[in-house]
Amino acid sequence: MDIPATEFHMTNCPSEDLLLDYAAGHLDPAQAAQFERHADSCARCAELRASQSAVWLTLDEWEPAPVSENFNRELWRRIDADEASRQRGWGETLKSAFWKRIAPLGLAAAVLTGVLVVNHSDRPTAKAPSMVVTATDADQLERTLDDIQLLHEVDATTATPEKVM
Amino acid sequence: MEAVSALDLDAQLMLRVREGDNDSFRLLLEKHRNPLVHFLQRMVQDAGASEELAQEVFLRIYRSRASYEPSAKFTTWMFRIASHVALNWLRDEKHERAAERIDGPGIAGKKQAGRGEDAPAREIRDRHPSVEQTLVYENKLQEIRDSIAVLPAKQRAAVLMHKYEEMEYSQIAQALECSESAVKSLLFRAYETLRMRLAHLA
Repeated sequence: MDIPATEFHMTNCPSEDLLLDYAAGHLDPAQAAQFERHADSCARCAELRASQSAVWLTLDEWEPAPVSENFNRELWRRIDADEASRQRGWGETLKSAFWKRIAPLGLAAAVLTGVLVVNHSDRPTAKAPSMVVTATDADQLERTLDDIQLLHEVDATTATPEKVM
Repeated sequence: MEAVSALDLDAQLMLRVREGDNDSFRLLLEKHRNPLVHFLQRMVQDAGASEELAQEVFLRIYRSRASYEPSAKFTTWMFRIASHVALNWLRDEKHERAAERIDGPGIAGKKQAGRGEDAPAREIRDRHPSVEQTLVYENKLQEIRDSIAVLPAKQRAAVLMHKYEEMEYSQIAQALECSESAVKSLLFRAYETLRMRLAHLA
């Protein structure tokens, strides 16, 4: 039995979903009677009706296996595990979000502190030489005064013979 | 989406689950567990996997309780999740190969193992079936399983929802996320294949 759908419709037969609904028992009595009247006078539809009804009855015989007794217990175990892991997941997400926010701030704070420390340590280094310079100046001043006095003495010594002469 | 103005009982229960009422979830579970597991058994043809997948469906329903809105019938929503889960499972090449293996003679044994001492079903109906009757029935069952197994996954889902869950075209369309005309097309092709393979068995 293999009738292409196009051929099926070309003969003014009912649509195929009507056939499916008929076999499934979904048609109201009037529609079902109308379909039967047509199928009684149409070899193609009669064959389709027979084969589709046969398939329908055959599929009825496929009975499923019973569900395991521990199905619910196992499901609740999975639900509990899932809930727990989701709560842990939230905690970890929050933690990681916290650290994700804190880490850049910490890094920025560390960099800022470093810069401040460097700047701060630069200033005493700049003052230190001035203190040293101050000490050096005192010696220098003393030496300069000594030099001036020496020059005066030399001047005095050189001026005296001229007066004598 | 179908109107759910007069909220079906399931949707009402689900709204109570959303409010934290686990007893309502238990009621939904009791009501829909068997149809869901049976749909998945026929879909993936693996008793163990079908129960795991059904649990996965209920788990997803429970997980999404907080955001649940009754925009469609509860069963339509449930079968949409179930179809998704089953199609993904079938798409997995490993499982596909496993399914092909157990679609052979092994599947009957596997399913019977799932049934325990109650199997096979025909034995329950006919109190004293002969060995010959049992064999004939098992062969027939095997042909049915094989015929369903050769259908492309979406055709298979459509047929199972149409035949065993008695869902309307619009519901199947929502579950499979396609148009009603696409569902009809899936069903026509699927039943055409089944007529060719199974009509002689009736």
